[in-house]
Amino acid sequence: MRTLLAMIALAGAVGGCDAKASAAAPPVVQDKKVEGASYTATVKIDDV
Amino acid sequence: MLEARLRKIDGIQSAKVRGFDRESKFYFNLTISESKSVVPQTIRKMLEELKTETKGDEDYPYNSMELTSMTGKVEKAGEGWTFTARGSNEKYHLAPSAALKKMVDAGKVLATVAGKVTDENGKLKLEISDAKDPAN
Repeated sequence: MRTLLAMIALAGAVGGCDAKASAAAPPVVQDKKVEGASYTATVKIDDV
Repeated sequence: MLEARLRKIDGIQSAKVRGFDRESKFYFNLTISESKSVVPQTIRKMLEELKTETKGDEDYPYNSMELTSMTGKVEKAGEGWTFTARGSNEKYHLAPSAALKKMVDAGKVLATVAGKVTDENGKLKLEISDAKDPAN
């Protein structure tokens, strides 16, 4: 019984780690494929 | 909504909202392919199309545009200065800074510049705020 409880606790701990790892993964940004050189700019747009 | 529409413009590789201030302005950082020219009129056209498509619900007036890093060729002809963007070959009338004048006087032709872009009366103008040697 003690072994069974230990196994359940271990499985829970591993599952918890996996969940944390997934939460920490960076989000996938769906931008266009970057090709060649680029330049940068800032635009301001009003909100009325 | 605006971020997604900006990303659809030909040449824009990424558009990320930088913030929103008390004066009710959205700020976006853009990364644009050197082979494409994105100027104030490009942004205004996108905003006009958005307004038309949404029957006026999405009405966002254009405010301003600044280049934060663009490489190109600087030329001085008499009193006039021009900047030709590398790749797209878009030409801007220049209002040079002291740093840029110094670079040109030293014989440099290519520069990476930053500055405000305007197009009053259809004349594309770049007011330089920063200029340095290109990194590549």
